[in-house]
Amino acid sequence: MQRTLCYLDGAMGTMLQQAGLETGRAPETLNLENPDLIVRTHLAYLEAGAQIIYANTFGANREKLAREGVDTTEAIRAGVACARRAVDTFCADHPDVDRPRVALDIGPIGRLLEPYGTLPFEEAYDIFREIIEVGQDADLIIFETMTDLYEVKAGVLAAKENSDKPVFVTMTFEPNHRTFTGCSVDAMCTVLDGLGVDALGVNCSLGPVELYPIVEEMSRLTALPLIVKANAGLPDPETGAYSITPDDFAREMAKFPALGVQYLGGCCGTSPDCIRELVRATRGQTAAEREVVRRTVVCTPTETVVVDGVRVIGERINPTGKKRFQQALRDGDLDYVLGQAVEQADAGAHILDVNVGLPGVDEPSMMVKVVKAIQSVTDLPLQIDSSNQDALEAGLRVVNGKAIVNSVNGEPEVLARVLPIVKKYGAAVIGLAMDQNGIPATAEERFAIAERILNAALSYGIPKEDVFIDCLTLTVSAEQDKAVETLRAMQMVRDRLGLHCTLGVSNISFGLPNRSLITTSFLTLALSYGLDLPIVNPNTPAIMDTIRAFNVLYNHDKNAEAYIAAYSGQPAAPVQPAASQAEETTLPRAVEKGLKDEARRLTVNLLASGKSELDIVNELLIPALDVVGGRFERGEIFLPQLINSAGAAQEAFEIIRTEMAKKGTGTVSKGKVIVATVKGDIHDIGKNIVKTIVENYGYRVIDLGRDVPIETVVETAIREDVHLIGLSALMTTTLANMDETIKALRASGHPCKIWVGGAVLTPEYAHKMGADYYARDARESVDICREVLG
Amino acid sequence: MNLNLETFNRKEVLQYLRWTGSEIPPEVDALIDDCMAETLRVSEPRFIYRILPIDWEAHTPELAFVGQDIPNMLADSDRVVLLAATLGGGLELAIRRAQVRDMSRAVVLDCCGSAAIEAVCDAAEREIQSAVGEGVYLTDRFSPGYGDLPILLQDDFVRLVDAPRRIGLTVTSTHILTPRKSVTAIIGLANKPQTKRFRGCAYCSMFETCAFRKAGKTCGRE
Repeated sequence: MQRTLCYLDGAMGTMLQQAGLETGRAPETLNLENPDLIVRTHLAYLEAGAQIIYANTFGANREKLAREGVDTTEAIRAGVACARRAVDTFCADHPDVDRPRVALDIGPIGRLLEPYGTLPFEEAYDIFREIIEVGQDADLIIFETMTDLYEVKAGVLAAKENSDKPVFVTMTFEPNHRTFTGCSVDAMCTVLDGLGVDALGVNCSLGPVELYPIVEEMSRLTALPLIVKANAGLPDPETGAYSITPDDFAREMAKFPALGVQYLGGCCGTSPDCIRELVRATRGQTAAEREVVRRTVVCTPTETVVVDGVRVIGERINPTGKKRFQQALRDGDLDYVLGQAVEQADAGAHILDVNVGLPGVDEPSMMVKVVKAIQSVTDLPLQIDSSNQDALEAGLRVVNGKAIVNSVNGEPEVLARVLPIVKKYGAAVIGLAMDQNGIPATAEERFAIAERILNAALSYGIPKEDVFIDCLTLTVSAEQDKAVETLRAMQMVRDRLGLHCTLGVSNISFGLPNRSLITTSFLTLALSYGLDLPIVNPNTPAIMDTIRAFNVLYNHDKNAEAYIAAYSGQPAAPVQPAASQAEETTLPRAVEKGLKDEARRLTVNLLASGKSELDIVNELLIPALDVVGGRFERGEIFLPQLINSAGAAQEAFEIIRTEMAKKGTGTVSKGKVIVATVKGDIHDIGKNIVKTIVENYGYRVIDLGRDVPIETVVETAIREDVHLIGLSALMTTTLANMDETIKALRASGHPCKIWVGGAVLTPEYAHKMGADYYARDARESVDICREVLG
Repeated sequence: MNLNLETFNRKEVLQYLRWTGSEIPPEVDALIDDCMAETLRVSEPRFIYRILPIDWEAHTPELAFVGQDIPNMLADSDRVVLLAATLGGGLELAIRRAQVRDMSRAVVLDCCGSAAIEAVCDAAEREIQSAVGEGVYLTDRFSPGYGDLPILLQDDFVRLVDAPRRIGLTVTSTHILTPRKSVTAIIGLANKPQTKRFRGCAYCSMFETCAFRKAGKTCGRE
């Protein structure tokens, strides 16, 4: 397809500064104060040849303009109106020229999204929605200078859900081909392709020379029209002046159409002269056609997983049949869930399946919470696993990257319900080779369903590479003739449809002795029959062993590099203090020394020998922690050792909790406490240390996190009936919110004791605020818990 | 500007961990080494600075310096440097991740981040010194939120050096820098040598053996 070039404008800010805009003042204020200047600037670019001009609305969002005392709505309306006026004037003078278009220009909000900052995804969406609704008079919507793909996703969703205009996105990359937030070119292309933007590219940060390799990479990864809006070279660090002339700029920019770049313009330091020269230098060129290799990719901004070999999907985040996990979900204990995520990541999973379906749990809202929490501790792509359509959509919405949906099946009603969501969020999808009539007996019938699913997906515009088929594992002890059918079906799906296959394998061995042998044998067979996305427990060494061996034997793991790295001369694990052979290790000693594995093993033994959970806690764990706490107070050990001991005790507690969840015999809890870092404050490591230590004395800690709204503290205290509340604040500016939180708790009439801590606090100030206790450190927090709760 | 940070002060890490001279077991020693290496691996140190004239009495045309600490520090200065530096967000992910399974590692990483960002500022100062040349003397670094310099200044500060666009550093609505391991600082440029404040125990030759430190106190120098 021939693509005619389209010219964009150049810098607005640079021009306004030359016209005397005070630095530090938002340029958007001029839309209202000096609209003629804005119109003149637009006109200069139109005269130079620009066919799309960016309205002066880059920073016009409520976060930024509130500080200037300017009404956002008015500034955006006026900005778009200025651009339209310029286009009208230009068209009156040039009746023979196609009418140039006006873009609503949207820049970054200026605040970091969670988890790196405090801005929730939903609020970012709302800020963009507001801009888009007000800017309806523009012809298209452009997001530019973006560095956070998550913020872009919020913006693109806001644009698509509140307008039918074309959406363009350009992001700003550094010479390492990453944005400041670590987003790769590949992830940007993958996610924005999926979200259905109309064009994408790069702007700012660098000149055309430095941007060239970045655009070259982009041109190989997406078939969408490309945009380049480069700076006029690099700024001089002393004067801030940009380095290249309009001629040089145009000459370098003229190299881009050959990469398939269709939209060309300028960013910082460029002028109407740059655009004029650019038009001249590219006259007669068209954007080159290009070959884009279709690949199967899932990603987060920083981690891209290309499915060109076996990729492991971790199955552990799933409450089905796991009492401990179910209890964690019911208690809102996300730490337990996160532990499962990080453990699988450490074990080598490439993708994490996320299932939070449990009777009595609001699945959509739990899915949002869990997805956000997992994204804050790992950068692995996610697979959203639910039979609840609302939970699927809620999860897909807040996923930062491109996810997989698990799953649809051949039932027409399910396909019609779920595939539009898959398409909208640009996800990949797993199709189960079954339908309303159940799992077919033969490979041929399963294949037929797979084919139907593929065709349905294609009809919704979901590309073939994004459809994975699960040919379904049946238990071999119950239906021995079916294992072969699963294998044959996969082979057919791979060879005839060219699709990737996924499969949960562990069911195969149910009911047989030595399950691991059957499971790994079946896994080996399945891998050779086309399984490349096994859904497994990566913490099971035999499973990962099988996959690594397969990758060597099938020539995926070149020179057996990964295999060798896994099994020989691997870098030494962090030194674990060795338990001395001479002395008999006891649980208290393991805790004192911070020996996690030992603590776990000894607790299992103690339980097996008939010692009760409560006795283990009261007679062994807590006295050991007291010994450690005393040493810490006397300066005989320091912080890492104190926390190591707490970590070892935590392992013991985890065994005990799992045991009690299994038996359904209640808890060892000595009472509940709430901890929170107050509103506005994001320093939470101190609070987290307190939580770790307090938990290990047997208290149940409800951790509300950081930047916690005052009403959340009050509501949780009342709802959960908690009478001891710990608040932390690290900044003098956020102490005010601590004060307010205490006042709100008192005003609620809920009887509770409050303890406070944090670097800037003093006992006097704590008392003045009306706190009941001041804790200097985690140790003192334990003393307070003991005094109040016993 | 990007910076290739090769190391930072281990004693500073120990100080942030409130080590007071007890015996450090080998596994904790190894943990600190490992965390220092990880910090260097996952950080992407960047800084940006801008030199502005001082319109004395104690404020520039663009940034109002309130309080007494800054006027005192800038008494001999005719220009002021606004420095902003960050380690980027990578270390934060590592810390959050460590908190899930190994809190002790998280705490050590956090302290490594604090020491590393100081090292970035030191490197930036060297760069500034070479840019302004000999005969110009740098004062101490002074950050919003220190002394009587209000933290509210972060918003204007970050905007003045164009930190979001230049180094990916932003401010929350409560004036906290994000990514977390970041610093903004004011440095005066004077025409005569400046007395530096005491830089803290981690830079003292008595660090390992100091009796004050072992008692959790300081010798009184600030």
